[in-house]
Formats: sequence, structure tokens, C-alpha cells
Amino acid sequence: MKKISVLAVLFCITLFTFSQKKFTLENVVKATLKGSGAIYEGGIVKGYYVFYESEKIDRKTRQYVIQILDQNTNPVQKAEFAESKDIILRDAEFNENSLCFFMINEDEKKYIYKIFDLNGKLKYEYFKKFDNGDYAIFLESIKMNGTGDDQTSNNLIAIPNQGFASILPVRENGSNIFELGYYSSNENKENVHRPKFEERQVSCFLLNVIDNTIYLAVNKKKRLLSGELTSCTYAFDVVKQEKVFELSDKIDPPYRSLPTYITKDEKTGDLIVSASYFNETDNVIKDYSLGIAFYTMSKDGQLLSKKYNGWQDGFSKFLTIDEKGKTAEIGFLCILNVKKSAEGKFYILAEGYKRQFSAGNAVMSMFTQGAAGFTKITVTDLVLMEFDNTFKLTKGTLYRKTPSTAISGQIADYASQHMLALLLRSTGAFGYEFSTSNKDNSVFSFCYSDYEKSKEYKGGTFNAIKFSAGKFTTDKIQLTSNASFIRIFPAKQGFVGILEYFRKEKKIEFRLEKMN
Amino acid sequence: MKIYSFVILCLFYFLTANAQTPPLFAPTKHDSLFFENDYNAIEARYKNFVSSISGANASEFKEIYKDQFESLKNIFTKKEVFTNKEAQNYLLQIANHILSKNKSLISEPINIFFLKSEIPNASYIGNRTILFNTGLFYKLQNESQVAFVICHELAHLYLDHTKEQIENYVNKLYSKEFQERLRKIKNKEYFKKQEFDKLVLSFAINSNKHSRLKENEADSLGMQFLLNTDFDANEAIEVMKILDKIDIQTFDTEAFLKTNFSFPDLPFNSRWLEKEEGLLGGHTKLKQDTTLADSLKTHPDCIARIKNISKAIPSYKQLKSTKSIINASLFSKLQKSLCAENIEFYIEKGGVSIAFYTALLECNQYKDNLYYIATINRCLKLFYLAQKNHKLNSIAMLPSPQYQASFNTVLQFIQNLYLDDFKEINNKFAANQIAKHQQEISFVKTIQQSIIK
Repeated sequence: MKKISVLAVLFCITLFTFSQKKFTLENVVKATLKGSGAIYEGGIVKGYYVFYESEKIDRKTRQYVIQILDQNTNPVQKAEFAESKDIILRDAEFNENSLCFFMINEDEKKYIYKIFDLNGKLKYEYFKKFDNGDYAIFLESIKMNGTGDDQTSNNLIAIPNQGFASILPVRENGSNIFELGYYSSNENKENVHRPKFEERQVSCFLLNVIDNTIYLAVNKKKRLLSGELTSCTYAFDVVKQEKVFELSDKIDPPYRSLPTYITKDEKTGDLIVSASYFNETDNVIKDYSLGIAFYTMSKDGQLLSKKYNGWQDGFSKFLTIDEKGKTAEIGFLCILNVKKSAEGKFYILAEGYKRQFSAGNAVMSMFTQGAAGFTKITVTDLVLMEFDNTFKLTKGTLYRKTPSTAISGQIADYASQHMLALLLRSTGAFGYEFSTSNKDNSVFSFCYSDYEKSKEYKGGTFNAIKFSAGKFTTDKIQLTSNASFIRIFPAKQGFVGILEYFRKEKKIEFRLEKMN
Repeated sequence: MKIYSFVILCLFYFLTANAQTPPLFAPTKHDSLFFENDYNAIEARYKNFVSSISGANASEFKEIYKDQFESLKNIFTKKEVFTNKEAQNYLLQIANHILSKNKSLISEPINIFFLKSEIPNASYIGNRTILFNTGLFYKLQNESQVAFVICHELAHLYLDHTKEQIENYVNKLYSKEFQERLRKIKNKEYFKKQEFDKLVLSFAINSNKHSRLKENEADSLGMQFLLNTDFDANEAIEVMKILDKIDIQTFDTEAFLKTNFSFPDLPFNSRWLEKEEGLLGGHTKLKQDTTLADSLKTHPDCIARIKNISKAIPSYKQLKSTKSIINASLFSKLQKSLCAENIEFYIEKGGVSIAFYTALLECNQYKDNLYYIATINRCLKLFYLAQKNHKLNSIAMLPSPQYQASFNTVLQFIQNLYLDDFKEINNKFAANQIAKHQQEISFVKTIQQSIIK
């Protein structure tokens, strides 16, 4: 009410104001890292959501708001709901018709799934108390993903137009296993599936979700400290609640293969699996992989074709690589994304990681009986590989970035090459962030974060490797900000979304930046 | 075609490199001393008035009048007033004519300025000061229409609506009842925001209802002022008709872009105009609470205002008046130059997407206006440079359900172009225009500056 003026003649003032270049939310009592994200439809970013606490309702209850923004950051819908003050948002996903928020009530040790439609209306709510001991395992499983309220769980999975799935670690009869929950967004329906394995120590990593089927890389050990590990690929249709297949790591002797990524060939409908492969008799905890294998499989897991690219074959043309698949500079490679271009070529983005001696950890270990470990895992450069339609490596390009420490402690000392890759990927420790693409993949970008320290600039950067008109170009945005935290979102094709939360000012700012 | 364009560009570069040619349009340089006397008079009136305030809520009143004065001061410091002697004299001449015919009603001097703004509006901001937006001026058709707008503002001044509104505001805000409600909310531990939002909304609804009544009063009295002058009072109704349709844009931006940005070796790419519809696409129609929106309007509908104004018309003898009595040719000249001034102002202030859209709009109407053609090129280059440095966000708006469809199309076009697209389109458009207007040395020189190397 500061400007008290009598506006005359006209009220039809809707023509222009030029302030709406970013979206700002005021009076944000609390916001968390997972409280905002992109809304996808068919793999394309359509909009964004922001979740925050807006006010106190009573001693135990708070008002929460979900603000939905369109792809140009215009606020178009808002949902408000009351919930316990003890809830913490751990994860959020969009499945093309609904938004799901996975929350934990710390006081009651309960998890809650709230599913909203795009009009901000609560559709379904599912909740359950953690069984005895399971809450502690859950907390243990997320402790590497940030701290405090910003700790994320990464276990919520969107099933397009159907519902949401989640993977939670559980204890059953003394075994550490996992359960696969499914929560429909079309009807009030939930299912929980606990896969049965002979082994008592079972963990899993999400490979992908394709047509209602969740593909998991499952690692199994008989005992916690066992030096032997077997693995399998477990495919489960969460809508039908049917196991699709369970493939051992020895599907094509004399090799063992451990999948790192699964995607679908949109033309044939077959699955394309990329995997690290080993000799059949190798111990995957100790031994090194032989290279990268590609398999095409039918939907029910029948092997249709295979191609093995040994480290000493094509890779050595562009990388100095030893027989263990390791290069002196960038270490091992972990596959992070596979894109098939409109011309039928495959582009695979991998990121390097290597184990290094850590003097700091070594000193700490002297005082902690070795708990701090002696090594650390560093993530290094990105490698973009081009494969022809027979999965033969035809080209490789190295994209330099500043190495950063991803894991330290005993786990860094003992985890195998393959286990480390899965661990780094599941905790988001790689610099790779996400990819964006248009409908036919004629234009796509691999995006990653980096840190720069030079005379001209010191700070975080956001980078894109963009494919357009048959060639790759790169671009970089410097991220300088006074915000309490900054988060980069995938945005509509060609853009990235930058969200900044200013804790002191109780303010969230969100803007789009166009990449070159 | 590429060689042909290149030869033309080189040829004209050598021909014009050293020539002293006048620019296509020279925007008025802001003169901070131009309104020194006016500013001093406003400040003196403000100080004089504030020193006379006493009684209940005096400090609150003083605070509000201080804010009001600071807002006006900001307009001067941000160079938003248009310091062009010819334009200012013209505006004063129209105002003085009205004042001379209404001496019995308004005797003290007033201050009136052009405000550089694309928003088609005018306002009485208190302290005997009227602001006439340039964006409204060039949408009107004649002097009589300008005169009616001024008469309407003078009616607000005569009826002292600003003072009345401030008094209403302060008396309501600092009333025992309101303060008690505020105190209760402040002391509440729960539902604080919800209660506060309710209170603010009810306050806004009441205040805007009051404001709509005042607008009707100003229309009626403004008509009386106009009837006393030699201007054509029928034009008051025309003003309302213009305002009623001001948001309806018939400019087919899509067709214009397709026609002008298609080249033999770079045909128009449909990707440049691709847009997402629906709730999340930025081009949707949002559902809104129409009852609430109506309650929050500060002005009555134009149709209702036409009815209100028409009541005064029958007694008026049209033969006595003419549409333009001061200087019709100057009116036309200023209309054109004020549009260009607005473009320059928006470019300077970072509103390049608005400047670009305005240039397209004007270029569509005045096809061979070289200034608007050159502005299109200039904006494209600015987009290119901003995009190169990831600053497009700072000069180009994003499509929004709040904007007109034709404006959204242009905004979407800007968003869809890649860096190379900006360059290619800009350079090819420039080459085409140079080939078309080879004899216009100033134009060629200006366009050459927009070419992206």
C-alpha cells in the first residue's frame, strides 16, 4: 500500500510489465533441497513444482504449499494441505498425471506418500509405520545423501501415468533385503512386493523404469562380510505385480556381466543393456572388468544380440587405457546415460572415478582404529562415446572437469570397481546431473556440474554437452550466488532451471537460463 | 546469395564508413535540469502541506505523503519523465487551454509530464501533479482525446481524490477496530498468515470499490471540464472505446515473422514458433475467480463508463468544436516520435523483448519505416549477445498466460532461437534490408552496426 495514487482512465493495464523474468516466492518458512523439481511428460520437461512450509496451524500441525509452475515459470496452480510439523520431505516425483511426495514423520516413524493431481487436489494418501528396526535401516541408507532436512532418499520412482514405486531396505528374519512398494495414482491401491532370494544380504540399484517395469541390479551375498558377491537383473512389473524376469550375471558364458544401464529401443521395443563384463570365474568384488558389453534383449529377457568392447579394443584409440579398464588420468568409467540419435547411432556418456590414497584419512585412521580408511574415491572427467548401430565403438571424446572427492572412509578402501560405480551413481556423487532432449532426439544435451578455480572465476559451473545438427558443442554457466542453496533443474529443451533458496530472507527464486 | 550479400555489405561499408550521416532516430537526451522548476515547486508544495498536518494520525499521514513524494522523486531520478521541450510545451498547451476555460474551478498552477511507459495510462498522483504515459498518447487519435484524459485527471485533482483516499486509508488502517484485529493476528501463534491474508483482501476489496466510485465521479466532472473547452467532447467516448479494445491485438505476429524471417538460403523453420499449450505450456487460459477479480478492479468497465459519459453529451453543441485546436500536425509528429522514444527507453532499461515487439508492431503498420526495421535488427543483435553470455533472461520476458497471444508468440520465438539462429536471422534480415534500401545511407550505416561478425 505504499504507492497511494489514483490511477485514472484505465484499468486495462495488462499489456506489459517487464519484471516477470523470474519466479519469486516470499514468506517461505522452510524449504528443502528435495522440495522442488521438474515436471516431466514423456521425458520432456513441462513444468516445475516447489514445496514449502507456509505457516503454523497448531502446536503439532503445519500448513504446507505445493506451487506448480508452467514451463516458463508462471505460477499456474497451488495446493495447500495441513500435516504434522514432524514431517520431512525426502523425495518427490511426477508421473505425467500426478505429483507424489514421499515424507517421513520422524516422531511417529511413519512414511507417507501424498499424491496430487495437477490442479493441486489431493488424490490419494498412503502411509505406514516402519516395522521395528526398519526405520534405522532406512536412515542408514540415506545418510550419504546430504545432511539434516536436505537429506534425500532417491527411492521414489515415477511409473508414467500409473503411479509411483519405492524401494525401501527392510529386515526380515535376520536378513537385510528390500521391498518394492507400489502406489497407484489412478485408484486407491497399494502393493508391497518383497523379492525372495536365497542370500541374506541383498541390496539393489535402480537401472531404469520402462513401460511399468522396474529394472534393478541386485547384489547378493550370503553373509555381510562375505568376499563373494553374485548379482542379477531383476525386472518387475509394478502395475501387474508380476516378476518379468530374473537374469543371472552369467547369461552369456564365458563372461559375467553386471548391467549399469538399461534403455529401450523405441523402434523395436527391445531392451538395450549396457554392462561391465568380467571373466566367468572372476570375483567382481576384487577383479577388474574386461570392458563394456551391449546386449539387446526381448522384453521378457531373451538375449537377442551381444557386442563386447574390450578395454584394449576400441577405447585405446582415444584413451590410454590398461587391460583393467583403467586410465592413469581418469580411472574407471561408469556409464551414466545412453541416447540413441535420430540417425540410429548410440551416444554413451560415462564418467571417470578412481581410488586415491588420502593422507588426511590415513592420519584420521590412526585415531579411529582404521574407521576413516586410507583412500578416497575421486570422480574425474567425462567421456562421450559414439557407437554405431551394431554397438561398435567409433569415436570417443574426453571432457575435462575438476576432480572431486565423492567417497572416503572404509567403503572407499574395500568396495569393488563395479560396486563403487553403482554406489556413486545412486548417491548422485557424479558430476553428471541429467539429460534433456526433444521428442525425436535430434537435439539433446548431457548436463553436468563442475567447479572452476581460475584467475577469472572461482566457483561452481553448470555445463552442457549439446548434440544438434549432427555435432556436439559445449556450453558453460557460472553459478555465483549468495543463496543458502542452489539447485539446477532439467528444464524445457535448451534451458536449465536455477532455483535459489535464501534462508535468511525466507525467499525462493527460480529462473530459466538458456544454454547455447 | 551469400556472396551477393557479402559484396553488398562490403560495398556499403566502404561507401559509408567515413560519411557523417544523421542517425535514423535521435532519442531525446534526458536533461535532469529540464524540470528543475517544476520539481522545486512540487517539493515546496509537499513541504508546505506536510508541515500543516496535525491532529490524529499526523505522523502516519506524513509518512504516506513522504512515500508519495519519494515515488515522484524516483520518477525523476530514474529518468522516466520525458524531457523534450516540444512535447512538453504541447502537453502544457492542451492543459492550459482546459484550465483557461475552467478558471472558476481550477485556479492554482498544476504540473503535468509525459511519463516514458508503454502502459496506456495516465494518473493523478497527488500534489497537483499529472503523469501522462507516452504509451497512451500514441494510442489516441486526436487532441480532443488527449484533452479528455487530462480533464479526467484534473477532475481527480479538483475533487481531491488522492487526499480523500489517503484519509480513508489511514483512518481505516489506524482505526481502533482495525488495529485491534491486526494486534490479534500478530499475537496469534497459529493461522497468522491466513488471517492476515483475509484482512488484506477485505481491505483491498473495500478500497477498490471506493476507487471505482471515484472514477465515475472523475469521468462525469471531467466531461464538464471538456464541455467548457473548444475540444470535441464526443471524443471522450472514443477514448473509452479505444481503452476497451486496447488489450485486443489483431496483429498476426506469426504471419509477420514467417514473412520477414524467411530467406532463400534460410527458410523459416517451424521450430522457431513451436509452443506448448495447456496448463503447463505458458500459453494457457487460467481459470480465475471472476467475482473476486471484479471486486478487485480499481476502475469500472469501459462500457459502463461510456454510458456514464454519454449522459453529458446530448446538451453539447458539436458544431462549436474541432478535434484538434492546438496543433494537429505536431500531434501526429509526436505520436510517431513517442513510440520510438518508448522503444529507446525500453531498450535502455532492459525491456528488449517489449521494444522488439513494439518495433514489429509498428513495422507491420508502417512497412517502410527504416527506424523500426533497424530496431528489429538491433534487438536481434542484443538477444544474440545476451544469449551468448547466458543473460537472455535479463532482457527477454517469458511467455505467460497473462499476456496477449500475439506478444506471447514473439516471446516464444525469442525463446526458441538458438545462438546461431539469432545470428543467421539477424544477418540475413540485415542483408535483405540493405539491398532494399541501398540509397538510405543513414539506414545502411545503422544496420551495418547490427551485423554479427
